[in-house]
Amino acid sequence: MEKEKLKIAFYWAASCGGCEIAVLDINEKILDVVAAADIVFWPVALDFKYKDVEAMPDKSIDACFFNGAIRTEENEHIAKLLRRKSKILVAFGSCACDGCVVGLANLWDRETVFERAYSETPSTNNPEGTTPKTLLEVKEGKLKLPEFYDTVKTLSQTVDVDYFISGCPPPIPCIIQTFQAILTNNLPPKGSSFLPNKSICDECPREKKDKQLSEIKRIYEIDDDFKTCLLDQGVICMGPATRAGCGAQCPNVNMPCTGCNGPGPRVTDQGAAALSAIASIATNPEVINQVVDPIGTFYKYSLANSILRRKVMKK
Amino acid sequence: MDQVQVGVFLSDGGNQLTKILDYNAITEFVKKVAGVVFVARGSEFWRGQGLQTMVDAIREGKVNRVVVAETLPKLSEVKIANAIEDAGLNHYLMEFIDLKDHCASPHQKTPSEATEKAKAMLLGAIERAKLLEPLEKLEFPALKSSLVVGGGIAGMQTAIDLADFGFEVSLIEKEPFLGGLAAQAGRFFPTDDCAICIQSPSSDIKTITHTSRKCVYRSGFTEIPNLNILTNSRVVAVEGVPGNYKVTVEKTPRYVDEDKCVQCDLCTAVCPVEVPDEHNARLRTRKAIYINVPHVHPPTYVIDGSVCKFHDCAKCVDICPTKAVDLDQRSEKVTMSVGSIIVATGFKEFNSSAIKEYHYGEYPDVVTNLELARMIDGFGPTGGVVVRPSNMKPAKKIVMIQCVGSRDQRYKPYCSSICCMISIKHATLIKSAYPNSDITICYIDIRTTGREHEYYYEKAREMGIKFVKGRPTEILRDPEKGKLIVDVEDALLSRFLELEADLVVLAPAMIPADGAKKLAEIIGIETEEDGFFKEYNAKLRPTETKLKGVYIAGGATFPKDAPTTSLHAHSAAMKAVKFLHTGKIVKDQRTAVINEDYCGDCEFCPVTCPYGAITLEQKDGEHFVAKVSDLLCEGCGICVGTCPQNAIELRHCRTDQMQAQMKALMSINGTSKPLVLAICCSECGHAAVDSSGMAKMEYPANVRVMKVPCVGILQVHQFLDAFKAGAQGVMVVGCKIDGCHYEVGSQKTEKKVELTKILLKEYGVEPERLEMLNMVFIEGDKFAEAAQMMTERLEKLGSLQTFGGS
Repeated sequence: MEKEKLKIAFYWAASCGGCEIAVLDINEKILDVVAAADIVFWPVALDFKYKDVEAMPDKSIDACFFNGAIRTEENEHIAKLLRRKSKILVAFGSCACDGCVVGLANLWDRETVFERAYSETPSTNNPEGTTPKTLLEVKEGKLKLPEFYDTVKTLSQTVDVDYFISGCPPPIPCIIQTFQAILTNNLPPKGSSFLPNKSICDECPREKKDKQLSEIKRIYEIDDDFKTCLLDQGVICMGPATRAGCGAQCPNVNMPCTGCNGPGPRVTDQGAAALSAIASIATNPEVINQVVDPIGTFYKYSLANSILRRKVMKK
Repeated sequence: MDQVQVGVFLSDGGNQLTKILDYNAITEFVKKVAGVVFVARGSEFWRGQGLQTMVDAIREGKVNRVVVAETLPKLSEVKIANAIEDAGLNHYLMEFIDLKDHCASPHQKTPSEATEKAKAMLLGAIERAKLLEPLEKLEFPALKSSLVVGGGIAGMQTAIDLADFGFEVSLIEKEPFLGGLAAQAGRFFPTDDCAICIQSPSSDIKTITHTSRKCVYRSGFTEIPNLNILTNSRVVAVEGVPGNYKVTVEKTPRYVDEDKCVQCDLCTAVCPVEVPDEHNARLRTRKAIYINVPHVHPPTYVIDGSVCKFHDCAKCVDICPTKAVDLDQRSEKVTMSVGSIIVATGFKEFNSSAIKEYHYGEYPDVVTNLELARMIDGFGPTGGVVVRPSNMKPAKKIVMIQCVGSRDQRYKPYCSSICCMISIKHATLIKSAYPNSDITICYIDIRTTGREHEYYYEKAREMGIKFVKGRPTEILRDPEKGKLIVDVEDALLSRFLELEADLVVLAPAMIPADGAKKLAEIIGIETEEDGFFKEYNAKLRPTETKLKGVYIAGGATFPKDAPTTSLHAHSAAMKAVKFLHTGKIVKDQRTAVINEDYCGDCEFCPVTCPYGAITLEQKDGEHFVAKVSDLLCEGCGICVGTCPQNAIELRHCRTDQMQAQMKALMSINGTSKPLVLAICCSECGHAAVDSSGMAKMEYPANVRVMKVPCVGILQVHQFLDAFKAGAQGVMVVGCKIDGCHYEVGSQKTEKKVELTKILLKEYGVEPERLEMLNMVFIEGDKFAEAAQMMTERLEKLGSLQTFGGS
C-alpha cells in the first residue's frame, strides 16, 4: 500500500511575506515536498478558510510552518488553532522566533503606534482621526475586528513550539534541511533549531585581525578591502552574536550582519550578548557614546524575545 | 553524581549576632529549603567542636555540599576549606557567607530586616551550592632551567643565583663580550668601587677563594658547570608554555675560536682595518679584530663582520699562532628548552643629538656621561685623562648638564633617576685627580634619594664643585678660541650666566636597550609607553611579568643604580626558583572552558584575555575554535564576559550558579525598601563590603551582595537579569580601573555598564538604576554611602514593575 502523504500547513501572522517567498526559494526541491506531502492550509497561495482548519481533527496536520509574530488577537487565535491541529509546530523565520522588525513596535504601545500610523505620518490623510476599533456598532449590526495588542509576542511566547528556524527569511539550505528532517521523520530533540550552533563568524570568509575598536564607523565611512573582518574595520557587525546558517551572506556582499538569524543557542538576549562583546573590545570610552541606537542596532530582530521584551511605557 | 545533600552550618559567633539576627527563625527557614538535609547551629565552625561537627557530617556521608555562615571571615574560610578537603570533600563544594560583616553589623538598627536579609543570603548560598562541582588539581611539568637575556650586572647576578640553585642556566648577550653598561661605567657611586665587581658564585668552583665579592673576570662565575654563556647572541623565537619554553637563539659568528685564542694580540697588529671604537666612546680606533679590554669575558678576540675584509685579507689567519681564527664561521641557531626566561636587557643613553641647541655630535667637545666615564677609566681611550676630543688636550673647565632629554616633555618626560649621581660621581673623581679643574653642574633638581647619596652630594660641594640651578638654553662655540659657552639662567640667583667650558658633559635620559620592544613581542610580554618592560605589579611583583615564568631584572624595567639592580636580580632569580624548583607547576582547575560546539570563531576572547591563555585551534581541517590553556588561565572570566555565544564558562563560577544565587537573593525582601543587587568582584570590591561591615558602617538591608571572581565576567544580560529577578537597582563593585587584579576586568565592565545605561534609557528605564563603583578595601565608607544613596534614589524613582513583562 502506498504510504499516506504527510499533511503540512503554512501560515503567516504579523510578517512581511518574505518567509512565504523563501519557501519557494528552495526551487526544484519544492517538488520533493509536494511529492511527499499535501499542503492542507496556505493562505498566501491556496484558497482554504479558517473554518476548514477548524473542521480538521486535532493533530491531523503533520507539520505546520508558522511565520510572523503575534501582533493581533487573530494571530494569537490562529496560532492556538494551528497548535491544536498540528503534530509539529515550527516557528518559521525571525518574526515567529524572535519578533523581528515587527517586534520593534514594542518600543511603543497600541496607542502610540496608532497615533503614528493613523495620524502623524506625512502620507496620512485622516482628518476624523479614525483608528481601528475592536468593536463598532453600525446600523447593520456589530462589526468586530481582532484586537491589536500593546505588545508583539513571539510564537513560543504564545503557544508551545516544537522547532525553530530563524532568519529573515530563513537560510535556504536550512529550510531544505528542515523539510527533509520532517519528511524523513528524522527529527532532532524538541525545542531544537534547524540552524547550526555556531555564529556567523564561523562561516564568514573575512579575515579576523586584532579587534581593537577605537571608533565606530558606518559602512560608507570605510574603505573596505573586502577581505578584513568588518568589526576590525570599525563597522558594527552582529555576526559574532548571530546564529550561523546563511553562509555569512551579508558580509560576503560587503554589508555587516544585522543579526536576523537571532542569538546563538545558549544566548537568551542577542543584543546584550553583542553589547558585551563590543564593549569588551572598545579601546576607549568614546566608542560607547558612538552607539546611537542600541536597540535598532543590536535588537533589530530580537527585541520581542529579549530579556526586556518591550519598552517600559510611562503613563 | 549523587543526590545533592546540603549541610548548613550557622555560626552565631558565640551569641554575639543573636542580639540582631533571629537565629531560630533563620534556622527554621533553612531547614525548609529543598536540598538541605543537615542544619547545625553553633558558636563557631572554623575550629574545635564546631569544625568537628562539619567534618563528621561529611565523613558519615550525610552531606556533600557545605554552606557555612561564619562570623570570622576570610581566615576561617581557609581553615574550613582545608578541613573539609581532609574529610574527603572537595573544597570547591563549599559556599561561604559572612552574616556578621555583610548583614548583622551594617543592619544592626533594623534587626528584623537583617534577619530577612540573612535568609536571602543563606538561600542564595544554598541554591548556588547545589550547583557546585568539584575542581581537581592540575599538574604541569616544569624544567629547572632558565634563560637569562642580557649579560650586564643584572643578568650575570641572576644567572649566578640560579646556577647556584642548581638550575641549568643559559646566559646570552647580544654583544661579543659580557659586562653591559656597567663594564663601560668604570666605577659605581656612591662607593666608587669597580663596576666589574660582582657577588661570587657559591658553587664549588675549584681554586677560587670565596669572598663576598670579586672582579667579574676572577669570580669564577664563568666556570660554573651548569652555566652556559653565549655571547654575540640574540633571542629570535620563543614558543611553548611556562615551565617549558622552547627558545631559539641566533649566534652571530665570532670568527675566533674561544678554545684556541691565547690573547697574544698579534692579530690586531696586522689587521689593516681601523674603525672608531664604540666601546670607548669613539675616542680611539680599534681594528676589525679586537678585544674590548683584557679582563672581559670571554677572553677571546672577535672579528667585526661588518668591516672585516675576510679572505681578501686574512692576515690574522696567517699570523695567529694557535690557528684560532676561522673566517668561515657561519651564524647558527641554537634551540633550548627552559622553564623560565629572565629579561635583563638594561638600558642605554638617549641620543642627545636630537636636542639641537646642545650640538651633540656637531661640537666634538660636547660629550655624554658614558663617554666621560670611558675617559675616566684607566683602561679607557685616554688612560684616565679627561681631554677635549677636539684636540686631545686635558679639559680643565668642565660644565655638566643634567636632564638632557629626560624631564623634558619634548623627549622623555620621566626622571631617569640615576644621572644626578652619575654626574656627581664623575665630578668628584675628576676633582680628586685634578684639584685644579673647574667643574660646574647645571641641574633642575638634584635627586639623591638613595642611602649615602646625599653625603656624596655634600662631599662634592665641599670639594668645590659648583652647582647651578638651571637648564642651559644653548651651548655656543667661540670660533676663535674654540671654547664652548654654556648659556644658563641661575634660577636661585636670578642671574644669567655664560659659562666658559673646555668640555661640556651631557647627562642624557636613559632609555630601553636596543631591541627591547622586539624582544617583548617575541616573548609575548608587554612594554610600557616609555618602552621599558612592564612589571606585573610595581609594588608586589616588581620582577614578574604577566606571563608566568618570564621575569625582568634590573634596568630593563626602568633605569636603576647598581645596588637596586642587584636587588632586582636576586628577586627575579628567587621568583624563577619559586616557580620551578619542584619540577612541576601545580594549580587548581579554576579555569575557563570553551564549549567547542558553540564557539563561533569570532576571535574576541583571545583578544580580551589578559593572559594570552586563549588560542585558536583548527577543527575538521577548516573551522577554528578557541581553546583555553589551563596553565595560563588565571580564572578571571573576562572571556566569559566577552563571548557573544555564551560558549565559555568559568568552572568555579558558572552562569547557572550565578543565576541561581541572584534569583534567590532577590526572592526575599523583608524590608520596605527597593531591592538592590550589589555584584562585587572577589578582590577589592568584596573587600570594600567587608570593611564597611567591620567598621560597623550602616547601610540598608535591601542591598544584597553577590560575589564573582572579577567583574569582568559580567555580561550585559546579567544586569538585565538582575532587574528581571526583582532588583530595582544594580551596583557593580569592582577594583579601581587601574588596579584590577585581572588587569582589564574593571575597565571592560565599566564600558559594559555604560552601554547598558544607554540601552536602559532606550527601554524607558532610568539609567541611574545601574551603577559601577571602583573601590579598594579601605573604602568601606564609600560602599555604605553608595548603597544608601542608591536606595534613596530608587525610592524617589519608584518601583520598576513592568520590566521585561508584556
